[in-house]
Amino acid sequence: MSLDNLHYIAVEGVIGAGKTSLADKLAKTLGAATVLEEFEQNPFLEEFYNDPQRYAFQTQVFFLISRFQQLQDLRQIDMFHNKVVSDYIFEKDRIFATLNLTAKEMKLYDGIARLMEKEIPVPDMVIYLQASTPHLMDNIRKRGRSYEKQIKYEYIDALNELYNKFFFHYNKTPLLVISTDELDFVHSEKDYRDILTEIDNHTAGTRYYIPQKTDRK
Amino acid sequence: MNILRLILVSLLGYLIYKMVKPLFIGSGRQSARQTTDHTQENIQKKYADKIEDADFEEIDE
Repeated sequence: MSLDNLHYIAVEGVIGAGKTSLADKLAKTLGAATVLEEFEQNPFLEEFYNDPQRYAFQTQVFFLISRFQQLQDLRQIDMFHNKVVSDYIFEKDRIFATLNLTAKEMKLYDGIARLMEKEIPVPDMVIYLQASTPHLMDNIRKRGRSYEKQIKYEYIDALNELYNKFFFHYNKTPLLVISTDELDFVHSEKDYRDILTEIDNHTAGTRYYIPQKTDRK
Repeated sequence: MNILRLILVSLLGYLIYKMVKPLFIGSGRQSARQTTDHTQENIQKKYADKIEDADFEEIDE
């Protein structure tokens, strides 16, 4: 599937993977609109990082509703004449919910999420930015968001494993898995162009792009 | 003589205090560390169980 034929691309990855940076760059290249996570509007997020058990359900439900509203608005857009790049897929909430909710909460959450999923448009391609936990922690530290200072290594590591497990089974859309430990698509134009080439060459199923250190020099 | 005795008793009391204090603080710190380690182990076990139990196969079909 060439870049021109992609009307809705979703970029995914664990916290600190670079989803928003890549989504922004792709949107500029393709002349697309962006649909970005509104995590800063979640009033429970800071409390959640301080006391996960107490605030997990409120945080999850807020995200679920917020993302549902955002993605449902996409149905109003004429996708044949417009392009959209988002920095998440609706199913991502299930990954977080799996880790943070109790069994009873998960059952309730699951019921709501399944109803909502039917109303959500499916991307033409999903790009999963894969990274090692130390790399993610380093990115989180560098961007210095105040509410992310409480995030523990163990939490990111567990999320990372769950993301890998989720995308190992993912087959809803063409999936491009990009290993980002040795990539710097924000500052290196070559690295970014390489990603565009990978997207352009990907047609169906799952494709892995794992650049080596020497490839960039 | 009484003053000297008072000074000696005070000095002895201070020395005993200096010797005993680290034992209490040390054991307190160790106890806090043990609690933290225990909590950490619980969290890691909880995460490991959740990862193992997670079933994402079903939702993609």
